[in-house]
Amino acid sequence: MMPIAVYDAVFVAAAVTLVSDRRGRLGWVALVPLIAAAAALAPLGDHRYLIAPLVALVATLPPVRAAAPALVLAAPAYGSLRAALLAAALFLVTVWLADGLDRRVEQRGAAPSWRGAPARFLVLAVLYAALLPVGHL
Amino acid sequence: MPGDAVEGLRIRDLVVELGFVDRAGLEQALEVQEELHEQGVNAHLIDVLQDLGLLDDDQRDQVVINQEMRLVLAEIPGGRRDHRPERWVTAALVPAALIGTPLGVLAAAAVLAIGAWLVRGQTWRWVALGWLAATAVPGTPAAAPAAAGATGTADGAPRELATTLLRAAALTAALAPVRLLPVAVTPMHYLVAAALALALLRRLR
Amino acid sequence: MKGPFLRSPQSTRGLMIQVLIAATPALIAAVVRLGAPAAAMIVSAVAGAVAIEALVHRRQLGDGSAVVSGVIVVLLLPATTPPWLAALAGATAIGLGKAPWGGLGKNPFNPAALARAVLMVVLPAHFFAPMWRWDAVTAASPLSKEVGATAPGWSALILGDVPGCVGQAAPWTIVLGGLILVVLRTIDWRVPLAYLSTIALIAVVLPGGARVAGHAPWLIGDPSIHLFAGGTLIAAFFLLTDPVTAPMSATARVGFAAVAATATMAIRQFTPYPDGAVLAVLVANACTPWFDRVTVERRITPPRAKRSRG
Repeated sequence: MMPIAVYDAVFVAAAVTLVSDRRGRLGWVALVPLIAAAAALAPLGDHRYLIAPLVALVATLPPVRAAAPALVLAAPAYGSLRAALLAAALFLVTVWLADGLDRRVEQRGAAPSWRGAPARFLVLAVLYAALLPVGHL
Repeated sequence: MPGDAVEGLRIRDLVVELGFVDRAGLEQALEVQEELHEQGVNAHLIDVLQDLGLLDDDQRDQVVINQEMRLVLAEIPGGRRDHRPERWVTAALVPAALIGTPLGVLAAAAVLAIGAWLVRGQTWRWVALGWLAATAVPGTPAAAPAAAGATGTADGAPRELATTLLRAAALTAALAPVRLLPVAVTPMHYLVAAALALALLRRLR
Repeated sequence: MKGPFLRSPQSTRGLMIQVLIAATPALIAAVVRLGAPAAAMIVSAVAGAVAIEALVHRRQLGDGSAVVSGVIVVLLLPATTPPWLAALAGATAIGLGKAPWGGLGKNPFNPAALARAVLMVVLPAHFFAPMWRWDAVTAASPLSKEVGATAPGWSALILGDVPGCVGQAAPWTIVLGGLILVVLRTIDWRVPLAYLSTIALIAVVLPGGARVAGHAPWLIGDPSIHLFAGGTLIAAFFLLTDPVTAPMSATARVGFAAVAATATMAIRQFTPYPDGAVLAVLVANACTPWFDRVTVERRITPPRAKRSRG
């Protein structure tokens, strides 16, 4: 089975972040791809199977609130530090854009059955389509 | 304290649940608190318990941390005592987007439930154990930890963890037909499907 | 703050009629050039949009916004789109682009652009065909990266002798429609001006070294193809000028158009996507709340009262 694509993981992590009422330490979450990419470069020889659990452990150590998106962002295989950096930036930008749009939707008053999580998911779905070319960089 | 208003998260419930104070001791402390209140002193129950010698410093810290931890867990997707549909739809979203097969999610759920039971009460340890165990399940290396993170039910309540993950698995099964479409399925498909499902659910209510 | 904001004394219905009048030359050109299939696409898309509008916002049917969304989404579709997909696009524009957000005047994204982008991900085979059927001839879009060696001339670009979406049947009709909207003051002239001039500027100054391997050589240094091919003109006159999804202040709208232009060119030059205009519109739409926050809301929000002690 193919591991999840970096671009897909960013949006799943953003969905998990946006549905949480008390999100924490987005900066730390954005660091996780870099940690995962750096760990992949570690000279572990025959013990590379240790990388995934170690990254998971590090990702969940400090912020319990941020464990969910951090773990999702730890899942993909980052080919390089550049890819990890791009994923981190994309995650922060996506959450920032989605937050702004969420406030806008709240101000204007979405349809009652769409308020909150459904509107947030839809915003993320549109951002997924709009930012898709970034996934090819 | 922030959790005092939430049933099950109150100090009076926690001190008994954690085994630090028995019912008689709690009754005694509540009576003292009531007397102080009548004298115009608003003493907190945890202070009264400590003043009466029923709770030491370590136990006090554990109670406070436990309360805070449960509050946090209640607010992450699929967390304890949080039964809003968007939470378990999100919980479903992650495994659905990552592996998309109900069987895979169930396998991940089983592994994680066992892990949760083994190290109940110690959040990050069992999440890491969940990851370790999940690597042993073929085909679910990415989905299992993601499901663990998304459901976030790491507070030592295996029954609630299992319930949340079963809901997630059921919803994943409901979303599985998306995979039958002659198109490449992306998280966008699931985000739109989740949004439509939630809106429909609300309208039906 | 509560929206939507009243920005024009004209009625919604009047505005929609003006947009329809402006789009009519492009629709006629599409039918003349592409024949019955184009007519079938237009009818299907409008029917899809109106059907969903009738289902969820029956009261808003009379304002004509569903018809406008259906018409504009057709302009963004490939010329080979089957009628059922055109109907789906129209339905998506209203069903996901307008209805969930509370109806007319509340949507954060342009409904037509949203429908085009979502369907592009859902059904990529219909949107990423390497060759386009055009004037009964199969050819590649000039914005495709791996096409032949000759660059289309100005006349071919303006008259529409290059393959593209339905709105590309005759790009001069889109310009004509845009000018009608500018003269009628239906749209803010700054937006298309800022968008097109930024695109031209980037096309000229972008260093040749930034070129992606395999790109057609004329995609660098020559602004004409970037201005007239792909969805550039439709984005400039019909998508970015949507008052609901653009920022409120004139200054912000110029910045908003520049963001869209930069995103368009970044997608065209640095990714495998042939055209990024529609996606760039959505990216700019997503930045609108930020533009409004830094230009309008900050000015009208009173300074925070000093916290009293004790």
